[in-house]
Amino acid sequence: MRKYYFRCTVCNDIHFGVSPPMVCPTCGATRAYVRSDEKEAGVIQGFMAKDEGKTFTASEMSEVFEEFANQQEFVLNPDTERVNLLIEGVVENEKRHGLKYCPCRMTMGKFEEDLALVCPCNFRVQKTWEEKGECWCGLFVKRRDL
Amino acid sequence: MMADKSRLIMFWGRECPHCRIMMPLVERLEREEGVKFQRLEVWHNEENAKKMRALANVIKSACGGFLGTPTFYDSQGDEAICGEQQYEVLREWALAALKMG
Repeated sequence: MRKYYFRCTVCNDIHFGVSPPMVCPTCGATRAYVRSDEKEAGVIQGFMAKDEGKTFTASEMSEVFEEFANQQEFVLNPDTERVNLLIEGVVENEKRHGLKYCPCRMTMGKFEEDLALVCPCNFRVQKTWEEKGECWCGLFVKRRDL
Repeated sequence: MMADKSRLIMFWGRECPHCRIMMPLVERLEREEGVKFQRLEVWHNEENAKKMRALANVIKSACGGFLGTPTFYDSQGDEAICGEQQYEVLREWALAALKMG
């Protein structure tokens, strides 16, 4: 049975298994895990350098984001041009800076603090989520049919 | 209005959709009002990233706790506005900033 890495988008807990935990054992968040790649899992857990490890391609990243949004109260933004640009940035940032940092925010150069910028982030706490129904970068938007 | 190249700064990211939307508005503002923004791309230029981080107190406060792009910063007034803005809002902000100086 194939196992994957999964990351909790709230606390960055890493899980290695066939499927993601429904509830994060570290922070208690529900349905918060997104499929992760070797580099991200390794860098977050501290056993891999920023220039090591396999990363998702842009098309794999797109699948992962779709999979993450599946059966949630949000969807990927229907503006595909925006989504593709963001995916390009996320993939590029992981290659060059070690993690999938949000292309619409800058890191502080402090590892722990910058973990909050790893995409998908804990966007439900953002003001734009509350006010506009979208994460800061506009990658995920609230479903209108709920 | 006198153009002061070093006065107003736009911190932006190459793969940031908000920045892509704001860029033509900044160009329009420059064309119509004669103001100038120094454009500093932060994700592909570490020196620019350092400049943005050095202004973290002001920028985080304007963005809601992080260094968001785009951020428009007035180096003389030490003030910033963050994120996608309506043209009129950016125009008012820039003109008010330059007037204060």
